[in-house]
Amino acid sequence: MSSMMEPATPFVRLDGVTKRHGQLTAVDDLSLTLMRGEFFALLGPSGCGKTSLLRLIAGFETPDSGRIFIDGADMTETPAHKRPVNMMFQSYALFPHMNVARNIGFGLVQEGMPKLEIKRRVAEMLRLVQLEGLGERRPDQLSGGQKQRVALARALAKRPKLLLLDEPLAALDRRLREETQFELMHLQKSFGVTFLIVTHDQREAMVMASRIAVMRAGRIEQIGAPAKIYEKPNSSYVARFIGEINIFEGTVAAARRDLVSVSTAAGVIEVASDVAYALGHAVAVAVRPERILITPLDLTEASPSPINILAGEIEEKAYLGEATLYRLRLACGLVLRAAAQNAEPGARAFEPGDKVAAGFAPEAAIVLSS
Amino acid sequence: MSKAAPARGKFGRRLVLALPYAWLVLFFLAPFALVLKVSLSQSALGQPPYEPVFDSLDPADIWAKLSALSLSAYAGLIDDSLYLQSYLDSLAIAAAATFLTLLIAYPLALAIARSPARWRPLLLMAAIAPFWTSSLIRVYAWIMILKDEGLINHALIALGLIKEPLHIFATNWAVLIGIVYSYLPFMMLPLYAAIENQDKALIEAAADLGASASGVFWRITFPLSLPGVIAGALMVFIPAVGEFVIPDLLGGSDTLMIGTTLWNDFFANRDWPAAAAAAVALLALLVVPLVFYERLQMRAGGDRP
Repeated sequence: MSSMMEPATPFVRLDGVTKRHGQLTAVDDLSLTLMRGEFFALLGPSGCGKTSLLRLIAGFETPDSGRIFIDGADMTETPAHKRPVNMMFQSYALFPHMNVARNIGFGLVQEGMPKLEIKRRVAEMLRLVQLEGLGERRPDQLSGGQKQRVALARALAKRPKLLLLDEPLAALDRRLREETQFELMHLQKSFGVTFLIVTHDQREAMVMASRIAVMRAGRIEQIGAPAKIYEKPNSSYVARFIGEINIFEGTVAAARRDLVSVSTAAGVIEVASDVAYALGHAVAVAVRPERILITPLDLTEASPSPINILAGEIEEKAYLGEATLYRLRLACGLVLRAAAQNAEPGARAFEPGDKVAAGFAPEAAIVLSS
Repeated sequence: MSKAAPARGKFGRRLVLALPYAWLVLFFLAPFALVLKVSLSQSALGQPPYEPVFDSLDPADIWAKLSALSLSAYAGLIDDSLYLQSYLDSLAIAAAATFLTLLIAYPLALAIARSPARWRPLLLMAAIAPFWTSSLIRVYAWIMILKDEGLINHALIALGLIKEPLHIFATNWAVLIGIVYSYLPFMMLPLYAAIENQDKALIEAAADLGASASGVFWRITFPLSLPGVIAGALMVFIPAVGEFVIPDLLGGSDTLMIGTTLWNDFFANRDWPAAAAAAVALLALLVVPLVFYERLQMRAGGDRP
């Protein structure tokens, strides 16, 4: 990714920002640094404060405490219309009384750009979002996807240094959403603009963003590259929010060199860990469904290393094409989710009622402090 | 829909459509036909004070009377400069009043529409509350305020700003003030509705793209409120042109508004045909802006697919 090759310089810095709406603390003493040219995603359930954070950066709201720096300048008190930031609204907020070209050119007119240049820039933006020839249309004559593109073109027309995107794809159907995800990534790279996107869709964040911040109740739980957040979530909240995961609550029963034994309701689970945990410490073991291997129960008795093997019975099965999802009930009563990739035709399938063994390597699981 | 339902549905729909039309025919078209008939008659001494009177249903008689109808009352409208002057003054005062109500009502409507949602009903109520009193009483109250020994003159003299009282009462200025005051809610409510309906994200989007507060107002808020401006302007202008009570109470002897001229012809001069012709001409005059408005709406609506 081109943004990774350039030396990473801080571009937006939030310093202990707090925003309250009456009783509710929307953003709680939050600090965050965005690098120049990165594609950053704020991810979290609705009400976690991600949209408030975006509005603080756009300048629609001022923080109760803390500072906001954009490109080195303190912008905490700067009104929205004087910030080098543009936003794409979830509702698109296209001006209904202006045609597409005038919508896109709105920011340029405000800038005092000469008419001819505006015309050229608008034509360029229309080409960029593949809406050539629709400049004369009114917003109410456009489809949802076309409106989304106009909103994007309007936000990019002023060549902002930072583009804020508030759930930009939420109103599109799935196929269009996936297509647009790649277009957004392409645009972000070719413009070299810093993108800050707010989304509740973890898949969307993982596809597009180079870094993700998972938010909860006005705070950031974890920041990192998508793979890091997926592979090494730092809490069961993050682990549950990003993708599917099985969690076993337990206590540390033994800690050897880089292996932790956790005593859980399902038995002792061995987990590879580079953190030393004290004996008796309450922890959770998390395993992604796709890391669990299901085998018929009779085969496992011959297995040479009977580590992390949990006996159970298939309860439900969902065939998704590329994979099959199973829900199996363990002897202890816990329900485990497992995904079997259907990489080879004719792979062994299990049916509800089958007695099976679910196994996973110590490296496939992670320990989370609970 | 099944086959049986549409028959009843259709009847119901026709009934719903027919009711307002029946209302209009009964209470607007029929009286208007009477006025039109009187306007085509000749003034006469007697009861009623015009002829011919269609008092029998004999076809030969009706034909004779129909041929006696004349346009002389309309010719009188043009000959008599009093009418022309009344129309012109009415239009001028109504136009000025419409503009002034717009200037006063817009900031009010904007302020109420932008206030916290839980305050809006209360503020709207406060703006409309005075209008629960009879309009006649409120216009009378203005006499107390405007007359030479009234509130305004007392206050200004007490403050030392003027020595002699200002003659506002019994002038066109007093009529203007009275109309602006009386019609303010008719301007404010459509404006409020048009502003309150606007998507707040549009304002943020415009600010985000670099528009200052005044830029946002003139390029977003005001253009989007134009339907409210037009509706409010019509709701003030049309009744203001034909206003009778306000010019009668607050105006002076040189105030010529068509409403008072009409009243004089009807009741003082007992020239019913002339008054009826003046009323018909006024209606024709007011249909013009309405048709214009309809056209405008059609054009705005025609854009949509």
